[in-house]
Amino acid sequence: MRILFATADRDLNASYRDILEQDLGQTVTAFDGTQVLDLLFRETFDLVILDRNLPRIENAELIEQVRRKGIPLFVLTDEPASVRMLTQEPLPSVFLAHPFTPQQLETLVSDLRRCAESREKPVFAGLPVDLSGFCFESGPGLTLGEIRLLTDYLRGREIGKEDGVLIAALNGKLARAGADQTFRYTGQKGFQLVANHG
Amino acid sequence: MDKAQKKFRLLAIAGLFILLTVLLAVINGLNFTMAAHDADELTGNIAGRQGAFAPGSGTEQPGEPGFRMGRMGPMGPDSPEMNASLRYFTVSFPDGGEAVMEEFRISAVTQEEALDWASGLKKESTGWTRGTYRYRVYRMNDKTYVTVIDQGRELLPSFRILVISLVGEALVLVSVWLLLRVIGRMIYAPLEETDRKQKQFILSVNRQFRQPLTILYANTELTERENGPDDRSRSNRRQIEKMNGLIEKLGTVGIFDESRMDREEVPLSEYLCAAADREAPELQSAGIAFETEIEPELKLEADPGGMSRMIEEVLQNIKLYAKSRAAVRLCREKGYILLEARNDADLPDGEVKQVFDRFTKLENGKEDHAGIGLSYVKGIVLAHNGRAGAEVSGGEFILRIRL
Repeated sequence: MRILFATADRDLNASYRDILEQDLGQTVTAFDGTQVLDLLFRETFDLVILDRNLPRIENAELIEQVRRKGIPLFVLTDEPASVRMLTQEPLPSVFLAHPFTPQQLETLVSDLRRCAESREKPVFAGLPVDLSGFCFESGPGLTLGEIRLLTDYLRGREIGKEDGVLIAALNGKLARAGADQTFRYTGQKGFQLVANHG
Repeated sequence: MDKAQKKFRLLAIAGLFILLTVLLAVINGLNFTMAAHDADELTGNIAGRQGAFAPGSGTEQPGEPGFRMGRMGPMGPDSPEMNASLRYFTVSFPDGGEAVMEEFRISAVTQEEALDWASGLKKESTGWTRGTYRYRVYRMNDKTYVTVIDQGRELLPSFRILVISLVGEALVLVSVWLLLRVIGRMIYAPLEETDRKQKQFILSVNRQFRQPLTILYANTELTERENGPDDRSRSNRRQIEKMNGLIEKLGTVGIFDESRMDREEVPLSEYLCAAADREAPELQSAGIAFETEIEPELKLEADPGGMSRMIEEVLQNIKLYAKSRAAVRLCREKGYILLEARNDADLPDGEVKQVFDRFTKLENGKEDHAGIGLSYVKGIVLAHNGRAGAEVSGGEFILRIRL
């Protein structure tokens, strides 16, 4: 696996270059958006991990460029993901808030790879989901967290331990995608897809 | 801070209103009381002279030797000028006989009307009748006398003073209100700036602390891989976790303070049900009887993350401090959504006001908690234009949040 890891902090880049090279594969580091774009143009990567506050290039532009190449993308943030972040377009595959452990990052990378390699096309609330594309087929992008929530639900696992942000974001995307169902808490059965009232 | 300014203005105006009203009430009350006293002196004069007014304080007429006016001289009620200006009538009621008009020096009523008027006043007393007329009822020579004097012109200045007082008070209150608005901005601007900087600082600290913790995690991991885990590396991890928890809470307070909230329709009933169901087993195993009363389908335009964290923190507060019983209630009340949490925590009544202070740990505060929980809840509530309050009542700590 070839990984591009880009933050403006040299210590962070150095520590994670060592960890990722030990655990996942060859890792190239960058310190600003210009370097990221240059590397994306010249080289091939299987995974990109960017800090949200990289200097020189707007984060939205970087996400757009990475997603256009179909590369899974982590965006590192200094705050927990909000509904606004989860519903922005273009959307990275994962928002990962500082601080995180190497184990958390690697678990997410494994999940991401499993998802990206999946040929399943589950249907959720009447809408087909493109797991490898991280989106509903009809449009709105999905993050790994939302995909995990959907697949847990479809497999009959209990959800509801997810925080309200993820469910609120998903409900917004269901509405945008034209679904006639939303997640509602139903007590003993936890969160369930329920038909929208008229 | 805007709310604090408004509260200050309101309290200042309310205080000024009370002060002015009391002062003007006393002044006007004294004024009218003195007018009544002067009128009673006049009716007393008439009563002493068998129903007819005579100036002076003795029997001598003006111009005769020994004629004396009362203590107020020419301004007094027994001035010779009153002879010309006093409007009054006196009616006598012989026991068992018909009323007799003794003196009639009034223009507003006829003699017949005056006789009727006096008939209605036949109790031994003095007082005001028909607004600006003062009357006195007295007994003399087996007859009951009723004297009614017109004080309309004498009361006119008092009424003028009353109206001027009221208008003046209103003008003063409006002027002070406007002045406070101007001065208030000048007074509060530095306080608002300090508050803004404090919030910016908290947000900045939160952001700047997060990334270094990631580096610390990574370096601890690398060290353990090279040398194996040991007590120091485990201790490092524990401390990083602690700092992480603190920053988590600090950060959310900062974010809400900066009004960077999302606004979505949040199903509050569902959030609380989910959170309560999640915590119920742990509370039960801790021996805490936990009750919930949640009105269904309650929704609010709010930040979903904020509402979720607010509920978590309220339940966390119960988990930390409840001894044997706790309850949460969610309902609609007087146009608000009310979230009420009760538990039998040990909290002296005097300390309840401090529960929302940032970084304040009370006597029953837990060692490993930084004293941010309820200040964090209040920050979220205020950011949603809600109100949070706490009290100790009947041996219970009660937290009330209105949104």
